[in-house]
Amino acid sequence: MQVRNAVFRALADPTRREILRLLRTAPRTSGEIADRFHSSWPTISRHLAVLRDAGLVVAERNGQEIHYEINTSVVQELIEHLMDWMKPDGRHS
Amino acid sequence: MVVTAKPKPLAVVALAYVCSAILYPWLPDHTFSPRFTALVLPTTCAIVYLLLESLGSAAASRSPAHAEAHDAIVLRILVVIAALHAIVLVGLLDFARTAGPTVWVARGTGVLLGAGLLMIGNLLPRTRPNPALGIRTSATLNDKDAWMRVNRMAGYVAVTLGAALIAIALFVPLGTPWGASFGAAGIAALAALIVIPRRRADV
Repeated sequence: MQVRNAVFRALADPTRREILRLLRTAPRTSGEIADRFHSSWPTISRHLAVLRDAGLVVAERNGQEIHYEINTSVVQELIEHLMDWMKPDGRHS
Repeated sequence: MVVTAKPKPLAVVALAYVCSAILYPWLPDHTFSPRFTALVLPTTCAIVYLLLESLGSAAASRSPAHAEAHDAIVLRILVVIAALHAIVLVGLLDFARTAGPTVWVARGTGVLLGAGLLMIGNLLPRTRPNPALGIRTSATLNDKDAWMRVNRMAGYVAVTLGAALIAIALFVPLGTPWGASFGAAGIAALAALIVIPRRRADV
């Protein structure tokens, strides 16, 4: 139940949903992710920590860098879609 | 070949054998021998577990994320086989009692297979390149990004087909050709395959 709550909490935020969409195209480092957003790097790091705690992304060490990879199930992606559809204005470009 | 004994899958396999042992004295012998009926699916369960564990253990040890998905998918496969075994046993007893096929066996099998497809498909996007589970081609096995893209799409297709199979099994009248219904479900799954990646590409 706690994991399920963590998933919903993580997916409720539009920036975190945007990060998931970005990671769906390819794994990226936290720096590369932060470059795509107006938020500061520590804010993006906090978002990534929430996503990681919910099991929606995984961090894989690749040499000196840590790459974040998408780790969502189909149902979690459908919930993500639903949240986007319910709040279309919440999308970040 | 390394096989690690895990309690949950082993409990499912054991439960399948226990069900057979309990119901064995009442199993009819007019189609297959009771021994065959009692042993075929539990043994299938055990073999599937050994095969998937031996094939998938190396990939699972490389990636903790994949290990979690691998264990969850293997458990779901075993639960589906064990549940199918339960339906076969109880269905045979019911068949012997009522001297005819019962509706719930047909509908229950459809629902079970649909649920299995749905549950396994749901977890496919969480797998990583491995020789045991997922869409394994030389292209996907050699390219992690390709693996993740292909298995994400396969997951959507499996979930759509699973949900359609459940709906067909529950609501389509038994006289209707299920093949046609499942064909329609296949078209729905194909639509999911085309529409969803396109929506992703819009991002």
